[in-house]
Amino acid sequence: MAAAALRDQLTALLSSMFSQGLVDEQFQQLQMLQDEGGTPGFVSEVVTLFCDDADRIINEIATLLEQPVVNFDKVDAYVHQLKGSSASVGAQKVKFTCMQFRQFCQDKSRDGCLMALAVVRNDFYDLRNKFQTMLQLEQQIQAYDPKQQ
Amino acid sequence: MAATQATAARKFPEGLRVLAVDDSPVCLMLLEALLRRCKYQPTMTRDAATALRMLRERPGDFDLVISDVHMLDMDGFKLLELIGLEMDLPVIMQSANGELETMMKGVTHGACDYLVKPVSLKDIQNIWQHVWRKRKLDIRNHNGGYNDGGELVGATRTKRKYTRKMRNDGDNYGENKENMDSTLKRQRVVWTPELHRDFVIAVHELGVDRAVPRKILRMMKVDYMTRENIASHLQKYRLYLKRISTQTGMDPDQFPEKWKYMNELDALKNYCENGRYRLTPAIASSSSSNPFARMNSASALATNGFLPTHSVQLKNSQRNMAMGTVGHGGSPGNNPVFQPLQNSSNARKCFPSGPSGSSFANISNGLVLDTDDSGSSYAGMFCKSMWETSNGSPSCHSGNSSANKSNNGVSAPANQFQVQSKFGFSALANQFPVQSNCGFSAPANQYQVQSNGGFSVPANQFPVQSNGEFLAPTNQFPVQYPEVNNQPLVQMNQSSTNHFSTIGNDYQFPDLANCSKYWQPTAPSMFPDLGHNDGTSFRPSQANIANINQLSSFAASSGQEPMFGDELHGQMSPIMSTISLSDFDDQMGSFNIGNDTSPAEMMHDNFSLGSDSNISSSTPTDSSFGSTFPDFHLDSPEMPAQMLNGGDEDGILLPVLDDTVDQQDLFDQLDENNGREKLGSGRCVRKGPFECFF
Repeated sequence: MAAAALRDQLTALLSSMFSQGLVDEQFQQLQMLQDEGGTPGFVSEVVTLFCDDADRIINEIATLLEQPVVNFDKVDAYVHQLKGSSASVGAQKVKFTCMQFRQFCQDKSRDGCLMALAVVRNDFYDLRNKFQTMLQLEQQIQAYDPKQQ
Repeated sequence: MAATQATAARKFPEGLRVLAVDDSPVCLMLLEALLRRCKYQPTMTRDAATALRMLRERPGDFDLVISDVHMLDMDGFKLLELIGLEMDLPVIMQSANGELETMMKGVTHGACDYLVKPVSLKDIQNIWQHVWRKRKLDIRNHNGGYNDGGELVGATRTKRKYTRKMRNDGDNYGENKENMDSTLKRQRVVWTPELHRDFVIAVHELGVDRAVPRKILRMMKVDYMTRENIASHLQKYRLYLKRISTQTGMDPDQFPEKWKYMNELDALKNYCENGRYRLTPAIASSSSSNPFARMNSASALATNGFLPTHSVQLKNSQRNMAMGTVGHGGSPGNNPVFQPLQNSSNARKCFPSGPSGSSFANISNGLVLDTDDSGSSYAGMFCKSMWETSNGSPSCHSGNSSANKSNNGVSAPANQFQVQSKFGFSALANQFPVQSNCGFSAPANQYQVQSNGGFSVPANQFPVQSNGEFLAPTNQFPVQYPEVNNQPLVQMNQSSTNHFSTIGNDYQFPDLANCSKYWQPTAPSMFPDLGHNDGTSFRPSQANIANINQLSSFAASSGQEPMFGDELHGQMSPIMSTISLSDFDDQMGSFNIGNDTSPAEMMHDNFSLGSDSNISSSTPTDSSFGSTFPDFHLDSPEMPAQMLNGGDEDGILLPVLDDTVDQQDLFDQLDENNGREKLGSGRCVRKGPFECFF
């Protein structure tokens, strides 16, 4: 069945994300919360929210770093927020990058920050693509079998 | 029956009303899911201000608060302090930052738990413990209250029965639950600033150690509060005081008695200034009966000064803040000096706290000299904090060893020490007797310069209080530095045995010479007697002037150096000398304020603090000083150039205020030509008018 194939695809995607270190146990916990808590769509909701929020934060940081005088404290605050968000959603790789980013903020190194921003952005886009694929797969699966949810 | 109890037992954590605050929507969503998963009743908000409002508007609607540490609108620690003080709620902090220091800070501030993100289900499952512990604690306090024989209100009598029964029956859950419910139903008192103020006043009158809830309740005369409300608040308040003292690195026991008092008043002020409150005159008046009340201004300021967070905040804050801490200084009869602060915009933390220990140590290293007792070191700390404030360099307050700091601090001046904060200087002002604002208008029979608050004698203190406004005018006053030509070299050698001893290097500040040009003697200053030691002791000789243990000189010159732009550059040189003056007049200097040459420009300040102790000066009652002073209004531009002349101009007290808004300074300089030199902790050898070796 197509649905089964899709489901396999989804499982493969998730396990690859996990093995690549993109996500960690926290992400599993989200799934568990969704399954056990009887709140379907919770994961996709959180993931969507995370993508929007992280995108916003990254843009904020980019704007801040473009200023003639960089307010590193503010940058740090945003990075910290991004770290919190990514930790909550289990986006492990983004979280680690944020930790390095914060170091550059503390060193007040603009170049370092710009570099870290590029890395964070890259990691985030990578993850977002995976998440989007994941969400699409879930939707398709649902479309095949609404009761499945 | 048993079944119901079992259900109740199984149910307890369910329905726990949790308020979660986090500015990250993702975290908040996760948190909400977790809370719901545990069958709690979550209320979510993304900003601390809303959370606070909800808590204030609906006291009793929440059992627990979970707050993020870093929020854009308010520091989580501040929220924590506020909740801890105003409401009787357990607060859990959470942050993505799991650094030990931050966690410690959270716990120190009164968080009952600290969760590192990502928060897991297991964490959330267990949070009910904190609520339960609190309830148990309340119940226990309850019992304690009864046993103390405090008056009981009708409502509590029932609880007593339950409690006893509970004890007898063993920990029967049902009873317990009932008991818990009644505890929950107990009206939660919201500690308004007024209430808190009354509370603090009552505690002070009773003495911190002797204050018991029942007496406080009686003094406060608030009928809707119970002894338990007070007890709970008192407990928190004591913890707060303890924390403050820990952070300042001093054991509470080391504080002179008045110190505590000051500290607490400071706490009160902080509380009142904290965002929504204003300091009201009532505070001042209420404390006036206490001798130390008069010192309140300086002490409060000083207290603020050495708290790390304050020093940081001073940089950014408005000039009003300084005043806030200044409070009132004059002795009630003589001086209508006190002006309540109106700090609407004050962003100060309610309870400043920072990394404990280290910061304090740093502060204490300040240049100032200290001396034999903790009391005098207070002055030192104060100075240091100012120093840090003005310096603006983070390194100043970081964890460097004291020696480094002192060196930095002192040497910094040589390199054009830029003063950015007005507060720092205003703080200074307090320390050095000059306090602006109303201060000058005081009647002057006894013009006492009040230094560190605590130490100076209560009576007759005429503190000049300075606040931001004050400064501006100062520019219009010509300042003359009598000894301009001398190239004052200030050397500071610290011989003291205490922790300040690290400062002992000699510093020279040739730059003082710059000041000379524009100085004109305007007002005579006096530096009366400096009581060192605790300040508790009064010197008999006061009337005639007594000892000057501390000299501080602060010379300000008009902005002669364009390169400074609008900024104020201060140079501070610590002078440490112990001088005892037998004759006041000889010691009198001129009191100069500001300079008229460049009103809008910067000032170049040379600032030297001396000290072996605090400076408190009292002028003899017959001195001319007093008579001329009453008219002295700093605020008025048309102030006579020559106000007071102290006679020999040996000592100069210069308050320098900058109108550019960013700064305010005071300094005094005493130069002792005629005075006998008394060698105290340091030797003072005069090599020239401005040289002093220790």
